[in-house]
Amino acid sequence: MSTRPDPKSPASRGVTRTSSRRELLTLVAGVLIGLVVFEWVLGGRTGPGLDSQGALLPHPTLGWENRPGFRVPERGTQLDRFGLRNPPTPDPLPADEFRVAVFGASRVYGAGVPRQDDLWNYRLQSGLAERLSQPVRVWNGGVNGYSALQAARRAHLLLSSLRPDWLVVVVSPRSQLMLDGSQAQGWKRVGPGENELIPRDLAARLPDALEPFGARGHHWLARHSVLYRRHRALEVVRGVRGADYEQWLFTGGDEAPEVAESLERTFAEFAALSRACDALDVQLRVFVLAEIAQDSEDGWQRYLEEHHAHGAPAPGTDRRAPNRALGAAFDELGIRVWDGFDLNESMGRARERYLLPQDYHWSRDGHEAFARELLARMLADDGWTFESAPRPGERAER
Amino acid sequence: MTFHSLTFLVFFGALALALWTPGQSRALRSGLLLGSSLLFYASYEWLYLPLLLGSIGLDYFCGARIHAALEQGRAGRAKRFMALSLVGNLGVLAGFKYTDWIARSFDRACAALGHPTELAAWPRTWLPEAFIEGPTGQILVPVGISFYTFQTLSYTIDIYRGTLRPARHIRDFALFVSFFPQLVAGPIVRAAEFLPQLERPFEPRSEHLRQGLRRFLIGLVKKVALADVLGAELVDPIFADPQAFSWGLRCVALYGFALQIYLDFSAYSDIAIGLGRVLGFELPENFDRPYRSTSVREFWRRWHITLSTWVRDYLFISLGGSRGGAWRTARNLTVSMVAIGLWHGASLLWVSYGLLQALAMLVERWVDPGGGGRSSPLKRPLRWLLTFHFIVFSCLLIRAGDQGTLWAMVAEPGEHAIGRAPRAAWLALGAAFAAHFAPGPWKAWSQGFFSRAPLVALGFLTAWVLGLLAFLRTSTTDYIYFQF
Repeated sequence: MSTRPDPKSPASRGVTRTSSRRELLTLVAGVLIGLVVFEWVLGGRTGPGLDSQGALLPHPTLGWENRPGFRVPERGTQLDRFGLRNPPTPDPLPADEFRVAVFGASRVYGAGVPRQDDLWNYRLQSGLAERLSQPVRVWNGGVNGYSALQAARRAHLLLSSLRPDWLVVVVSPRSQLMLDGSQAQGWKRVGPGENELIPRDLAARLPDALEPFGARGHHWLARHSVLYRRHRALEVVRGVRGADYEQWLFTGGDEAPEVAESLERTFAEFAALSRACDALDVQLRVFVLAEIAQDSEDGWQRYLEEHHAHGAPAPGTDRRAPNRALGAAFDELGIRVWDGFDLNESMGRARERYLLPQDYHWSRDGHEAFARELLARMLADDGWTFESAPRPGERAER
Repeated sequence: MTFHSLTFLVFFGALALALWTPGQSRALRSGLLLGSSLLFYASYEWLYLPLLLGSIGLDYFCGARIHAALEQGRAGRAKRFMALSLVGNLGVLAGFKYTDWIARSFDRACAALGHPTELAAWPRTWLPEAFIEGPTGQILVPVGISFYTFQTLSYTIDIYRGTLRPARHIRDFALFVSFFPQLVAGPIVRAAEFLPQLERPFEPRSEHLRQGLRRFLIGLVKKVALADVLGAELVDPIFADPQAFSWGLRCVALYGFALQIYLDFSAYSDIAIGLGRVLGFELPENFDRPYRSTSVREFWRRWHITLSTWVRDYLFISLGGSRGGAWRTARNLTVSMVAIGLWHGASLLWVSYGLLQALAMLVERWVDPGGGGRSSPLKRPLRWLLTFHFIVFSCLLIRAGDQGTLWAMVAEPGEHAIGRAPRAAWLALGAAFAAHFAPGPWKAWSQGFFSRAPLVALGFLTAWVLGLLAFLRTSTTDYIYFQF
C-alpha cells in the first residue's frame, strides 16, 4: 500500500520549490527565446542598424567614424583609407589635382543607394572633370547618423591629410544635425594597451576590471541588437534631444539652456574649422539643406500644426525661416552659405523620383540633382578658381 | 530605478530567482526582501533613506510602547506614545510637504502689506542639496513619504485601538513599511494585511508567477503604451502652452489627462500587485474602473481605494462619521476630502479640488439620500455622464498646477491656434477608453489564459510585449503619483 507524502514535510516542500523554480526558469527561457525571435523579426523589418555591417568604428573624439578600407563588394560599397565613400585615395596624393571634399550625414553618405557609383560625388567628379583640364578628385565624407558638429570636426581632423581646394559641410536645420547627441568625446580607452573604446557613461557603471568586457559587449550588442540600439539611443540623447525636440528645427530663437549650449558647441566647431581652412587657403562653404517638411506649403503647415508640441516651430512660421536663420548664424561666423531650400522644393514636386520609397534619403536621381546643384553653386561662386591653389610643400612637385 | 527600466527588470529578476531558491529560512527571506527594498529606495536618493529608517524606528518603538501600556492598563501612557507617533510622522510629512507652501504664502502676504520677508529662503540655508529643487529652490518631497507615513500611522493607530498586535521583529516591521513594490506610490497597505503574510511559509506556486506576470504586463502596457503616449503627444504640450491650441483640443487634453492619470497610477498599482504576487504577497486592489461610476461617492470608492479607505477609517470615522446629524456629517466629509486634497499636494488648487469633491458629494447626499437606489434606465446613463464630466473637469485643477496655467487654459486661443492632435494621441485616447470600458469577461478571460498557457509561451509573450514597449518609449518618465 502506498502512502501519500505529508504535504507539510520538508522533503515534500523541497519538491514543490524545486519544481516551482523550474517553472521560473522555463519562463525565463521563454523570455529569452521571445527576445531572440523579436530581434530577428524586427531586425528584418527595420532594416540593418547603423552599423549592421561593421562599417563604423568608435572614435575617441568623433563618437564614431567610417571604417577605413571597408568593402561590401555585392553592394558596391567601398570606403577609402580615410573611410570616405569614393574610389581609393592614393598615398601620396597626386599634387596637381583639383580636390573637393564634402562632409555631412547619411544623405551625403548615400544611405539606401545600392550602387556606389550612383552617388552625388561620382557625378560631381565627372561634371567637374568635363570643365577642368586637371585631374579632379571628389571625396564623400558623409557618415550615417552624424550631427553637424561631428561632420565639422571630422572635416577638421582630415583637413591636413586631404588638403582640398574646396571643403563643403552639408547641414540641415533639424535636431539630429544641430543638437549634437553623439558620443563625441564620450569614449574611454580601456583594456590592455588601451585599445578598446567604451562609452564613458557605460564605463562609469562598471568596475575597472570589467570595462574591457563591457566594451566588447557594447560593440557586439550595438551591431546585432535592435533593442539595444534603441535603448542606447534613448540613453544617449536624453536631455539633449528628448521627446520635446524630436521635431525641433533651428529657427534662431531663444532656446532652453541645454539646447543653447549644444548649439554653441556646434557653432564653435565650425568657427575652428573656418580658421583652419583660412590658414590653409581652403574655400569653406556650408550647404544648408532643407527638411522634407519644408518642400511644400501644405505639408509645412500640417507639419507645424501636428508637431509644434514636439519642438516644431510655431504655426504660421515662414517655410524658409529655418534655412534663413541657419544661414544667418553661419554668416555671423564669416562662413559662406549655399542655401539648398530651392533644391529641396524642386525635389518635393516629385518625391517618388528623387527620394527612396518609405525613406527620406535621396534616390539615384536625388543624388544626381544634388551633384548638379553643387556644381552650379561652385561655378557661380566668386571664390571659384579653375586651377587648384598651390599647396605649401607641393609647389616643387608640380 | 523605475518599474519600466531595464535596470529594474534585472534587479527584480535576480531577486525572484534568489527567493525561489529552495531551503530558505523565513529570516533569510525577510532579510533579502528588506535589503532589496532599502536598496531600491536608496536608488532614488540615498539621503532619503535616513527619513524612512527614522519613521520605521519611531513607529516600531511607539507601537511596542502603546501595546505594553495598554496591556498594563495605562491608557494615558498609550495616548502619549500615540501622540508621539502622530506628531513625529505628520510633522516630518508636513515639514517636507507644506513648509514651502506656508512660508511662500506668508512671504507673499507680508510683501503685500509692505513688509517683505524671506521665510521661504530659510530652509535652503540648512537643508542638504538633495532636498532642494535646483531651478526653483523649493523643498523636494522625498519619494513615497506620503505613502509610507500613512502606512506607519495605520500601524500605531491600529495597535492603539487594540485591533493589531505589534510586529514580532523590527525586521518584519521595516519590511512592511519599505516593501519595494508598493513603497513609492502605493497601494497603502495596512499592517494587519501584510504582517500575517510574513508568518506564513513561502511556497512559490506557478499560479503566483502566472497571475503576477499578467498584472505586471497589464501595468506596463497601461503606463508605457497609453499613459506616456497620452502625456507626450496630447496633454503635456497643450498644458505647456494652452493658448497655442484651440478650445476643442484643450477639452480633448482634459479627457486625455483624466485617462492618463488613471492609467499611470493604476499601472503602478498593477505592477506593484503583480510583483508582490511573484514574491509571495497579496497586496490590496487600488482601483476598480473608477470612470464607470455613476456618482462622485462611488468614484471615491473605486479610485485610490487604499487612500479613501484610510481616510474613512482613521479620519472620517474618528471625527464621528455620518453620526450626529447632517451638519456634522457635512463637516466630517469636507475635512476628509480636503485632507485627501492636501495629501496630494500643497496648494490652494488641491484644497479647492478637495472642497469641490466634498461639495459634489454633499449635493448628491441632498439630492439622493439613499445613495443610488433604484433608478430608471435613462437616469443611470445621465448620472454617469454628469459624474464622468465632473471628474474630468475637476482634473483641470490637478493638472494646471498653478493659477497661471489654469487661466491660460480658459483664455482665448491665440492666433494660428492648433486644432489638430497627432494620430498617436487619438490612438492612445481611443485605446484607453476602450480598455477602461471593456466588458467584464475580458478580465476572466485573461486570467484563464495566463493560468492555462504554457510558461514558455508566456515568457515569449512577455519578451514581445517588452520589446514592443521599448520601441514605443519616447522618453523616460516617472509615475505621476511619485510626486505625492
